Amino acid sequence: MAVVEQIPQILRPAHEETSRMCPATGLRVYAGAQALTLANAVAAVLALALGGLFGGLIGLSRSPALEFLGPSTYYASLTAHGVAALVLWPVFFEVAAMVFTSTILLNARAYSVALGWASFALMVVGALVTFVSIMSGEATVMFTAYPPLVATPAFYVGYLVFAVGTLLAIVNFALSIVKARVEGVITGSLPVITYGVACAAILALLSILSGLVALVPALFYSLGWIEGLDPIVYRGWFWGLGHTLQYVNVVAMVVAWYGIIALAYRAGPVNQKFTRIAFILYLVIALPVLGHHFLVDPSLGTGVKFVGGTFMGFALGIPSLMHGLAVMGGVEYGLRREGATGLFGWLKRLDWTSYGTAALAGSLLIFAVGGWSGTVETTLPLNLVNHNTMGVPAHLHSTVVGGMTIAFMGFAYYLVPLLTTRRLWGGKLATVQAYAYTAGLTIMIAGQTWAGILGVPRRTQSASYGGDLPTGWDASMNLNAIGVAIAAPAGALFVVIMVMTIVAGKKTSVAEELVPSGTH
Amino acid sequence: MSASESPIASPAPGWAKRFPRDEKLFVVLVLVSVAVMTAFSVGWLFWGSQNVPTRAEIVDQKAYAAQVNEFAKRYRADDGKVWVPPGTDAYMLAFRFGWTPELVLQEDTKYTIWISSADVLHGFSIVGQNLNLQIAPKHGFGATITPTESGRYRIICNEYCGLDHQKMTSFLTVVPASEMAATQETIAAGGSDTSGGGAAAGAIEISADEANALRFNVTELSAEAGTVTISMANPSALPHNVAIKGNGVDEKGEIVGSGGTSTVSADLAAGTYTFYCSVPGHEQGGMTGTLTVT
Repeated sequence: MAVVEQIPQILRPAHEETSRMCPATGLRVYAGAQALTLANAVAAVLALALGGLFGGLIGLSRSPALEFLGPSTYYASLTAHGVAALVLWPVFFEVAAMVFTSTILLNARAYSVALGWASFALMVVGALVTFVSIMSGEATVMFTAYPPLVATPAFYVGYLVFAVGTLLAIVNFALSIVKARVEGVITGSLPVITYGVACAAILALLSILSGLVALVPALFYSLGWIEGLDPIVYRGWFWGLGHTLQYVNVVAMVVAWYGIIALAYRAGPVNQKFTRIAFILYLVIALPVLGHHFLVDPSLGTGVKFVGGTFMGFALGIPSLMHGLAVMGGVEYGLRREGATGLFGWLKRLDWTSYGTAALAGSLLIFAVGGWSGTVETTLPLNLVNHNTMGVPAHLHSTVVGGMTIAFMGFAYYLVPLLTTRRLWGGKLATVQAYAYTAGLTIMIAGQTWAGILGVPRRTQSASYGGDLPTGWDASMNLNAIGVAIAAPAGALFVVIMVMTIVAGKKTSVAEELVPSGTH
Repeated sequence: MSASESPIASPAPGWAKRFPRDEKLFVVLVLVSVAVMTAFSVGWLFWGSQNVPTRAEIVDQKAYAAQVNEFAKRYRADDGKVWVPPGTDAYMLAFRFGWTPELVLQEDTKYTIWISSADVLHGFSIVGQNLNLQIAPKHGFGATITPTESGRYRIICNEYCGLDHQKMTSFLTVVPASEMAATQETIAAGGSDTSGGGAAAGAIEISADEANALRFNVTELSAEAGTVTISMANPSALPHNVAIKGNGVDEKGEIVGSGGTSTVSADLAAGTYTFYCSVPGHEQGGMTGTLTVT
């Protein structure tokens, strides 16, 4: 074909790269892509460890019975928790997914391994700069950094360097797919999970561009180059980054669901078209939904607030519900074909001691709760009731932690053994981890939801205000802390399992040891 | 349902034509539920009694602070609170780390309370009433509310605004009509508030920073032992006061808004003292200096 003959010089392989055949999937794994995926996954796990550490501290300290952190330590820890757990952990994991789905999954090389490492280096440096600036106490502004609150310039510089690194990763992802096509390595449609990650990458691109518009002026403001920033305008551009990034996370979570059912159950979506349309819907609906951050702001008309916040918020439930059906329906369909009978016979065929089943069930369940609470909170008159109460962390911990983080954990339990060709360390410990984490989060989210209904404020070191507060303000936050006390060690166990797998997991090339089946 | 295909491999050609009936039905059900939720939430905007305020304006921060001050002066009673007569808009200013003035409203009466911020973002939240509004500098928010029950309600800030965010609290009092009428008569008879006049005679005169920075115009003061009086003019948009502490002394002047004067007096022996602003966070922010008494 003419197209193939006109491959630009830059797309030709520079040198022969070593590769191996994956014993479980039969895919060709190139060394460069494998190392890049693993490096980003390891950075993600370390970021999660930091995010979880600070999350555990602030979660326990918010209990009125404990309150052991002083204001400056508390607020710095809360900022660190937000940056590590809500930005660094998901984005590093998503970049790992971008490399994985654009190379290994397609039997292809990365477009440029060097570009991949440059992107990784920038992301790590940016993350460290921002993190150190927070730890120095010069950037106690929350991860949102609403001006006129101002952090040391290093805080914004770190964010921006991290964003540029992520941009390079998106470029490498797109060019890797183009290269695989041009070289004829793939000919048919993209696999569903590559397709999903491509949607996530497009959303990530949009969110980074919006973030640059917010953060570059904020940096100039921090340097004293410009006089003032309108916080409402900043909030618009910031949430163009912040909330769009949450849909990058949701899409990546759905991809992890499909990844888990593919590897654990050899199952797929009930219908390819249905699933792909659901992915595309996220692209259409996710951007305007940042409007819900303005529901009780002194800006925008009621019509705009309603359409951008409330209506779009409701509409965002559509693709998530579609994926929920496609994932569970796909598993059910596969098991029925293998002979499951009755209405719920297929559920009995699932191995409930499998870490894949544990993580998938926990993620689906808590994400459903988070979707529901998000729908409540995005309703204009109801936002007046729960804006900036503990109801907001209840929602975002259901979606980002209960939904996304558990799904990523479950997917990592399959991905990391395949990449390292080592057995998952600890065996069924991973199943215990997934169940314990789910249980802890459920209690934590119940406490936060209860507190939110009672109007307990979020983002505060103490909500004591010298007493005379409504009944339940203390009890709900103590319940939250009990959940944290279970979830935080369970989260730490994930980090231990990952690290031990990489350094001490038993080398194997037996497919069933790398990817144990999640069905009986 | 059609054949399920692996999500990690390319699907067989022809997948784009297949969209089965079960899934179509599911999508229709989801769309119906979205339509029902949308209809209810639109209806709420028209027939609900608890809706987001619709009045928002861009305000000049300095002019707004002066407006709050003038309003507070006019309706301030002897208890220091501002009693808002029915039919009058109320004005509040959020600042790091407090709310000014403290309002008293009449039961079962519709009020519009305008709120803006002197510095950073704040959150206006009335505990137990579940009213939460985002407050921003340069933006005025006019919330129309009808308090239905007499009592004292706690206001807190629910948007992180700095290291003393958790101390940012105030009160809103709701009283029956008779009490409001009686107090309005007293206010009318007593004329406007007497505080915030000129500097006391013989006082050391200082000033808060005009550009809203957390500092005085001086960092060193000296005085002779005996009764020392410091008068601080407040030309800034933020509420400030002047206070003296050290060697067992702890005296605070009244917290005054834009255009007011805060005065503090203390009997001081020779020694070194600190003069500062006692509004939470302001001393830590640099609003402090050394007073040397000889």
